[in-house]
Amino acid sequence: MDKTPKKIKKYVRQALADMPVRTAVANAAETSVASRDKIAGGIPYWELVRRKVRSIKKDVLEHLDEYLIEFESNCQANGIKVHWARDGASAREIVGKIARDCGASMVVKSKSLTTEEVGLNAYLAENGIEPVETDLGECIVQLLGQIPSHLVAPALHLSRQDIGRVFQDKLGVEYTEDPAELTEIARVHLRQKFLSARMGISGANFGIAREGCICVVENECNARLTVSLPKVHVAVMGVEKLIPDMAALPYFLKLLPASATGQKSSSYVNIIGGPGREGAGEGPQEVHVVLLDNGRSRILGDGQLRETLMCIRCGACLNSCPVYRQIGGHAYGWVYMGPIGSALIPQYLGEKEGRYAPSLSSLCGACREICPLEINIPRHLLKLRNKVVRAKQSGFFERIAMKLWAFAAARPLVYRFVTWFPGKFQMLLPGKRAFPAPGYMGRRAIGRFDSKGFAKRFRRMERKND
Amino acid sequence: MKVAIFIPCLTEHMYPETGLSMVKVLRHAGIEIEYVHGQTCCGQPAFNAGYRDEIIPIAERFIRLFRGKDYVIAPSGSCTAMVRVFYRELDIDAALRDDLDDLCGRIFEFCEFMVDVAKVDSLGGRFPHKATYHDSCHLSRELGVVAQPRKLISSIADIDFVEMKDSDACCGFGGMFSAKFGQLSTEMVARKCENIVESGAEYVIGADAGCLMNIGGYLRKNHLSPQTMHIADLLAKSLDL
Amino acid sequence: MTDSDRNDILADIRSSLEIASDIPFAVGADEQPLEGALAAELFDDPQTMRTRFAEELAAVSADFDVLDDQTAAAKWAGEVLAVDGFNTLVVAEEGICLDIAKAIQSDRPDLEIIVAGDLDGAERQARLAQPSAALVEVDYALADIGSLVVLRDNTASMLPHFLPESVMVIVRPEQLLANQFELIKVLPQDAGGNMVFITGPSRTADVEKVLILGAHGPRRVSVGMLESAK
Repeated sequence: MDKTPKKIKKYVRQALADMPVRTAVANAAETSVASRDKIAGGIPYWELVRRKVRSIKKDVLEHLDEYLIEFESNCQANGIKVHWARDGASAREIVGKIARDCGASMVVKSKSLTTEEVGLNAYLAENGIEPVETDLGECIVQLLGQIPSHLVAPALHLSRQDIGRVFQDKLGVEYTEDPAELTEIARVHLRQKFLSARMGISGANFGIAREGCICVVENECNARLTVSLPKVHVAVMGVEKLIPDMAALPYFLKLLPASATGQKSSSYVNIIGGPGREGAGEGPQEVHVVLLDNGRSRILGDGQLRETLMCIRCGACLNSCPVYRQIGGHAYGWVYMGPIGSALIPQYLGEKEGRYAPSLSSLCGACREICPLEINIPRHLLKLRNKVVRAKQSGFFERIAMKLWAFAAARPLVYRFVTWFPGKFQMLLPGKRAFPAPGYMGRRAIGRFDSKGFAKRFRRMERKND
Repeated sequence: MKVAIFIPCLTEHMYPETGLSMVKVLRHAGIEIEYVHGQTCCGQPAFNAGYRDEIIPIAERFIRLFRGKDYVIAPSGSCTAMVRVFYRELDIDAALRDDLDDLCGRIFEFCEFMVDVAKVDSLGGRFPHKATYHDSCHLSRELGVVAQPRKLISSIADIDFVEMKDSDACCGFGGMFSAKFGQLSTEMVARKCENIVESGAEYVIGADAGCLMNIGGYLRKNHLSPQTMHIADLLAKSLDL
Repeated sequence: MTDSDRNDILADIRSSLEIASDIPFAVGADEQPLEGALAAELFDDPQTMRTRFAEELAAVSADFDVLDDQTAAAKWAGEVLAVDGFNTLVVAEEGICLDIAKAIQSDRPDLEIIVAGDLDGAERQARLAQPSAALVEVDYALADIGSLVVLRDNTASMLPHFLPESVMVIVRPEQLLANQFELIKVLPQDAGGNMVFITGPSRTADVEKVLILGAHGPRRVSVGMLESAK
């Protein structure tokens, strides 16, 4: 499915027309926020941990080159092969080569947004390697040829009936819409894949520099199986995912599951620090980490916007966002969605392709409030809107209108005339019609301009008082 | 105590009564007010749309206009936040930086000023109706003003104050957002209005003209009974000013 | 290719970092209050800690029992086995678990015992992936979130912890720690990074947010606190 943020306006319209999905997304998001609030509220030092984690991540970003070198050498000492990928193409080639070298015709994958970002699945398929998503939600959207609609819950937009039908069609099983039976079908189907795959691909929630290992957090145990059953394990990880050391990990693990799924802990926290011991008979024989840049070093070059690299992909900002709750994740047209997606899209894809994304927000700030890292998303969206304007990617009429308006607002006399006009114009309209506001009106009325305005009325009141 | 009032554009041109109510309430509380002539707009509409360079003259003008005033009070959290929080994002004349810092410490939203600065908790009015309160995003999240308006409302005699579900959920206005994504914005206000109606309140009180126009416009057009009212109007009405 | 990518990326990062950071930071982010708050999270006595552990396990749908000795453990494990009707019991290697398994087997000779560490890789995977139960030990347990911690280097096989459908875990009282912060303090320096924290059975809520236990891993996790290894 080829989606692009250039068509956000169209996707928003489509999403708003899809009532069942909207209801599902809104309900799921509300439930997630409620359970998140319950866990966060039960941790008396939540705010302190938030600050701590923020300080850790800030330090990592500000010394990223040093942490990366430390991470690389400690990984190597642990027997992990470290690869560096400048962009998506380079990451795809690296993973493809590892797969060919180990003779894999099929690979099992655990949920990884980073591999979605670089379009790894399509590349592998083109090269005769079948990628099999093993997270239940990912598996469902993969069977449907879609991309995830939520950072954490990929199939959030689908009903049990949708899922029953796709399993019936693609896996040749009898139709069922019972969640337990659907889960069992996936388990049986995928267990065979786990046992026969030569290579497993995962993402990484954290790269731990001092100990040279990565951490993958999950609930289904599919990541555990992905990283331990096949002979080769490849983790694709953005360069910004580093944390300094193991001692820092518990702080992140306090915030991540609570924010993501409303759990005190995820069911499995996998810490992978190298291949299996020789002669142990299990564990992968090779572990590779692909460090992906793909624009991150450029994003780091903006002192303000680099804060968006603190994101730990918990998805809490999506759940709390009143815009996301209405339109779901597909409307954003890319793998990162919701408030943080709006901020990442123009940074990764450029101001032209991503020109609408920063505007797809009412700037209400619910995202910043819930973000475990307190990323000031509204502030970044404002700056990105400015970058879109500077790159001359805002609409022609909008540009003219804004410039004229700003010209007037800096000159009281001009301003008074410009704002006097609509009130008078309204009088020419039949009935008590308001000055037209295209786009705004429809199912809601707009206020009428007051023909006098405050300043005049105030003067009159003062005269009366005298 | 003397304050300069700042009347934002929506109040100036669409809801001037709210501005007058604020003046009356402030005076009732024994506060002297001054209206600075030549004020226009804080520049937020263009700023939010990404036009930063364009509004620098507007911001600089604003800073000069209100230089030296003890307090600047606006009946809007959004416009107050624009000055206090977002003017810092602008590349304004370095000579005005100190003036801006100074202004940031002296500009207040109306409710915030009444409770935190003027220390007025109760004005002694009466309003025998059921009312609920909508938290405007900039007011609650950028300025952290959540308790103050509630304090002022609850102090009114005979008012039946109820909290609606998700009072802090955005109404979907967002300035230009409401026109750029009109349908989406309407769905958001529809959700807000569901919660308002469900609360059973006759009046939904707010502290920002933008939100109130949006909410009121939806309620009116869809023939829903609750009425919108700015908190300054509520206080003025409760005091029979 | 990789080498030049590496140097390019690092060079780009360095040049980007020449720009001063504008990441505002919450004032007062010092360590003292957090350290204090974490210290306050520690438990007053072992019993409180154990009670909390049991509560947290229940909250993640794992069972908890206190076992006086190995005889009690064998009785308990036998009962858990019977719930799902498994005839195969997997253990990782020789030790307490194998002893308990043998004790169960003496009562019901039909029970097949698999010692995972004795099988070669391919056979181990294939056998353990069949419906079965496992009886395993772990290295630590964390009271505040009901987690079990397994260090890879301390066991002959980690697969029994994940592949079977029902996993019974023997925990010793001295293994119980307050939380992850305490764990980090006691982890051996050379533990490297190979470990897993397990919190309840595997689960998913990917179908309409309905919680289902047993996604790709165990459906049942039962924890027995073994008071005495006798």
